[in-house]
Amino acid sequence: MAKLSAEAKVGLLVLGGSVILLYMTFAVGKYEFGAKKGYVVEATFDSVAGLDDKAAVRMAGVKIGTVEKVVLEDSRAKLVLRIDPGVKIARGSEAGVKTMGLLGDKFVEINPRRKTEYGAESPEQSAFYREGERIETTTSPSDVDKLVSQLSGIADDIKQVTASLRQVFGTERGARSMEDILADLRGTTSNIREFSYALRSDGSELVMRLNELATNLNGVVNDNRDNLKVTLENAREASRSAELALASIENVTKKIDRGEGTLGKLVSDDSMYNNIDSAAKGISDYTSRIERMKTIVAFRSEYMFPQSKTYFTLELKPKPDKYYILEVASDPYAKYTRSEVVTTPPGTTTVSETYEDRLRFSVEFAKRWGNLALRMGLIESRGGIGADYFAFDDRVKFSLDAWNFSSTEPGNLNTHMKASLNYTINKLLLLNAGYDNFLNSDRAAAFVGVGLRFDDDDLKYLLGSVPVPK
Amino acid sequence: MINWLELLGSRTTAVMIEMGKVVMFLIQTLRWCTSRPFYFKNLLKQMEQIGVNSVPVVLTTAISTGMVLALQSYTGFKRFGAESLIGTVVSLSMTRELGPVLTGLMVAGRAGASMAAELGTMRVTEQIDALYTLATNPMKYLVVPRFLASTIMMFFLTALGMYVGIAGGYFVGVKVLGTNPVTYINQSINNTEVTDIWYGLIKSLVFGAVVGLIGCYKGFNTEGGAEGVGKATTGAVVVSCMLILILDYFLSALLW
Repeated sequence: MAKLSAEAKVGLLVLGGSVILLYMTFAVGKYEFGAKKGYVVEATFDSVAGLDDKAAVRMAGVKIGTVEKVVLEDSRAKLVLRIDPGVKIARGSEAGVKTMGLLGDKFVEINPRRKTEYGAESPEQSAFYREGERIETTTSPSDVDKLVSQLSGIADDIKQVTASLRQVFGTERGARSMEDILADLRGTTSNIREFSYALRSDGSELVMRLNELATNLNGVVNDNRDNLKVTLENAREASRSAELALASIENVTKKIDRGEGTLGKLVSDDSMYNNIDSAAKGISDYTSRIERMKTIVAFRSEYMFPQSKTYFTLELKPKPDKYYILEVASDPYAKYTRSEVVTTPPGTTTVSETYEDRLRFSVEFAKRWGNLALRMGLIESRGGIGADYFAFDDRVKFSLDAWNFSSTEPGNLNTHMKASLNYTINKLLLLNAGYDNFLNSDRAAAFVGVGLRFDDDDLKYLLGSVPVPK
Repeated sequence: MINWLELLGSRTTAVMIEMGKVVMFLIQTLRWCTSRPFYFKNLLKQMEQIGVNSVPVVLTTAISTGMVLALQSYTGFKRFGAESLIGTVVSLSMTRELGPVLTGLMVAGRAGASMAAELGTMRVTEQIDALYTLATNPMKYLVVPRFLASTIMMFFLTALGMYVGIAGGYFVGVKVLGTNPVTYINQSINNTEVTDIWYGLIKSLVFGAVVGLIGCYKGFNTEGGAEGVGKATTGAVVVSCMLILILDYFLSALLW
């Protein structure tokens, strides 16, 4: 094996370090891009006991989503839960805040309703929760302090009861009245005993009287037998006509159900409903696309000893991980002209080199994975590619650009490469610094820049109102 | 009494003067960093000296630290059944604290010392003065490459050290102590943020600059022959190690 040169060793270390760094930040980073998956349901709790955003939502111990937001609503905690697609929560399920183990993380537990209780209460409600609906039954975490105070209240009550009992039975008067009660009871039982004796002796007379009453009743029924028969027949007639009426109603509803007649068409034909539904969906899709799109306007000036370069940038972000960059830059070295003038005395030539200030245009398409974004397209009116690495919640951006791969300009033959570090101070101000065109030693220059960068909401609606052919 | 006061005063002024000199040295170094000519060959050579040759030392330190950390925290956490948190402890301490500090100390001991000895020998054998006569700025030719190389290389060495330390902790935690690997990784990843890694790396840049600066300063200001070279070397290692530990506290307080 050939011995590695010093350059190769250093290069290997730098490459290894960078790859490991990239890998670590990717592994640790929690990036969510694109349209968020799943659907959202809400639940309100009296208290969520310090539950945070991004806490897990579990059903039967299996993670089925995350807590997207915790907000206060009418002095109660409202949770917005994002549930994974494909997971269904039965209507009437219960949501509760639980703690994993003794010291573990807090999470939201969904207790599903049992299968036998499934089924919609009314036809317009589905059996499962859908986007934006609210889980009605919630249990807040049991507050240990509250539990203790409740328990001590109960203990107080019991103490009072036992105290009054003691007052009743413990005193001399209590004992005496207890004695009285017992004496009364004894009297009552002796009365009952006497009564039963009497009943035993006079019982035969009572039975005879009851027998007599039964015979009389029998006579009455026999006399009215004919009348009863007529009444029953009338009732039978009435029920038969009711049956006929019901049959014709059933006929009509069957027709409607099959889609016969105007009413039937209206009720049974799905196409109209589908039409309206898809139209509404189309509109909401379009508006939500515009709603989602972020439009960022930036303006910055880079001072590169001694020339300066000014940029105006428009970033269109329909999705956070896919965006377009349009940029106009005033480049002091845009147009290079070299002229040789033969002067007198003949033979001597003067070479004059001039640079003209021109506007350069960049149109780039960018795709982002985690904290790394790749760009390609036109950079300063030449084909080019670029890469951005984001850190500190995107406040810091390290960019490497390469363009103008086939330059013929003398002294600037190599690919134009630019490394820069951008720092966004707040929502408006940004600073950057870097090294421009470092492959061409004659034109290499360090630069520092300052600029403005902000999210423009009005512009996006302006763009949104322009009809876009699909 | 007066003597005692005088002693105190002179010591204080000496320290202040020394600090001022170091700051002036830093400002000069930074100024020469940005102007031509650049000695890329020297920079590359120093990168190899400081960076590549320190890799074994740094990796050994990092991996054993990660392993020991996992082992020790296991004994502690086992007492209240929280073994799953070992991953968190190892990854957080490696990224935020031990990765940059240990790498800094190791590089200070290895490269800082050799820097001071090399420049010190050049000073006492008047090679640095010879450079002046050759119209070469020794600051640019000797100091700037070392300063830049140690700053840049410390960054990459620290990134390597962090990763290897976490891997060592994983090895001990999962393979030796037998905790659940999935839980271990989840706990490590969920409780570590990208900013933790970045803050560690920012520290490492500062420590790299400290090692380069102090090593060069001590070497550049060596006086008095072979003995002076020895003193300069010791001084470079002691001062840069102390500065790393002191700055570590302030950087930690400042960054989070």
